[in-house]
Amino acid sequence: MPLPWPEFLVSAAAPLAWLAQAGGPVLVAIGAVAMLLFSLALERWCYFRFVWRRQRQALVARWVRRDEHASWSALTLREVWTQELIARLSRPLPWLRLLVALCPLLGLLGTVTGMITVFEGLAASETSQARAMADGVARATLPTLAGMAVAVAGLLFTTRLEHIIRREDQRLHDRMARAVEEPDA
Amino acid sequence: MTLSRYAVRLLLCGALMLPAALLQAEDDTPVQQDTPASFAEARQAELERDRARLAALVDDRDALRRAVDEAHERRDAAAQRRQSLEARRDEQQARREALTARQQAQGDDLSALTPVLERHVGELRDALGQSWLTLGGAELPARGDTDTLPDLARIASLADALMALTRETGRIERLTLPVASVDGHVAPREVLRLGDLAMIGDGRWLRRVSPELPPAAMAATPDDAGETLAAFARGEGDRVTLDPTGGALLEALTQRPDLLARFHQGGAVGYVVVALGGVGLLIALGQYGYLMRVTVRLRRQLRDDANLRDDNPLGRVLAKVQTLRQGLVPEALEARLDEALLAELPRLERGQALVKLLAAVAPLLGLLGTVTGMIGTFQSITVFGTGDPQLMAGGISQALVTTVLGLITAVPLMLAHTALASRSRWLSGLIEGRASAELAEHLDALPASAPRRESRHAASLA
Repeated sequence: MPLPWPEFLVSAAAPLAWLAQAGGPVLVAIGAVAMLLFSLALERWCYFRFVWRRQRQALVARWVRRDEHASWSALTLREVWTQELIARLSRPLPWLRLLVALCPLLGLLGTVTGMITVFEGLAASETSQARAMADGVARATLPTLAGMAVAVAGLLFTTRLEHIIRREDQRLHDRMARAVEEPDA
Repeated sequence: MTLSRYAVRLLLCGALMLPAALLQAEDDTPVQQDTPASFAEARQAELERDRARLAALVDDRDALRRAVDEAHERRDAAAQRRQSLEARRDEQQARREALTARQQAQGDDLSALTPVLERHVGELRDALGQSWLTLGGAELPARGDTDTLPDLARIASLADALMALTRETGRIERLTLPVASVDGHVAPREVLRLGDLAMIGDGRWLRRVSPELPPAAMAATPDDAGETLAAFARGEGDRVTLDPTGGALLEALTQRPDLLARFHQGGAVGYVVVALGGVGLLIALGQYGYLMRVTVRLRRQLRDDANLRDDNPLGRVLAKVQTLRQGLVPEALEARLDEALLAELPRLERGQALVKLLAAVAPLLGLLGTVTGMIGTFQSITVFGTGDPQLMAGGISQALVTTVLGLITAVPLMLAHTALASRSRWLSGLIEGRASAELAEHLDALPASAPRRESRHAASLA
């Protein structure tokens, strides 16, 4: 017995179902990659928005609590702590980059499998019916389009994330230096 | 004696006319012609008899008069009857002519109808020879010969057969028939006939090669379609998978290469690509296993700071730093620490470069296969011309399949490379951070006696 889906969900999923039908399994794979990519991005955004500030303040407070801030060991510790925090912020970055790089590859894969479908349709129907090729052509073009779209969106996000990581790295160092110079800041 | 002579002539006339009138009244057939000799004989005998009667009548005057009156009456009646018969003959003649004309007209139509009828029957038998309708359903109309006119019963039976066939197309029938399974074994089995569309047995589509052979199960019934068909045959499902093209799609389905055949279409380049991908994945898997082992040991080392173990990079680095700790400036210690870390790094980053290389090479090899496949296509065009697309299909298949293989080899290799790189970077960062922190805390704990040059280091950090 099928689950009683809400009406709005069904109507919202209809174009998606049509896309999956027309684009074939590769488009579904691209969709999965896109979902993974965007959920990772959302997770990073949430982390940066809600957790990051607290952790940064905790780190600065920990640095201020230290009684001396100028020795080699103090500077090394500061560097290690900052690196740890920055590494935590940028941990999913390689995966995001990989997913962005995968999307055009998957699009190309869809193009080639779609072309195989086109040739198969030609061989099966033995006549040059445009109708026989339409299915394969949709399978060839839709994944490329979807792959490019997802890659561009992902690329925008990863560039932004890299920029944020660089800026936060710089800002952490500045904050720590300033916190020592003016303890009431 | 003129009166007697007149009477004799009349008598003769009456006697001669009577048989002729009688003969004419029989029917329309012409009077039978006897031979003149027998006729003359009969006439002679008649003459003799009349003469004898005349002689008798001459003797008796009253008898003669009666006979003359009688003869008159008979002559009048005969004339009247002749008239009526002639009128009837004319009427029948006219009716016969009308009937002949009508028969002529109808005969032309019917003789044109006969070949049309027989041709249609023949076409119907040819078209429905392999149809499912004849299995347990209606009979096909029998062939007739074109020389005789079709009678009414044949036309009626033909119409009945057509009606019965049409009725059968809308009927689902459960039958028990001899059916050939996929391995060719013929056994009686329960099958389900869906009108003229299909026949299902054992969750498979059946196909009919010729009207004489039993229907055979198709080898290429996909699993999901087979489940649907089996559920429908059990009466549980309400949907059924059909081939509306009358077998053309199913034929294409059987001829479609499966995944393994597709893989073999890639040729030598395809094998090389997949082999390289396999090698890369094996390397990545081995290295990842090593990294996981290192991670586990590192965690154990982190939990247990006091005794340094030799089985993990952090323990080795810390042990090395501890031996040199005394009497060195922090910069020198840091340099030693870096050196120890540098010695650990190659083991952590082993195999990464190869996996990355293979991930980059796989699509390139796929491109190579595309180009060689295209070369093969153009060679076959040079030799055979563009007439037969089947000859070019091999090269095109190779071109496309190698590209696909290259791409689907590259994707897991890229995944593996990212996994390896991120884990090894995390490990080396952890080791470096822990070692530096350990060193710094240790230096903090020492009395601040040694001369320090923080400013330079701070400048370098900034």
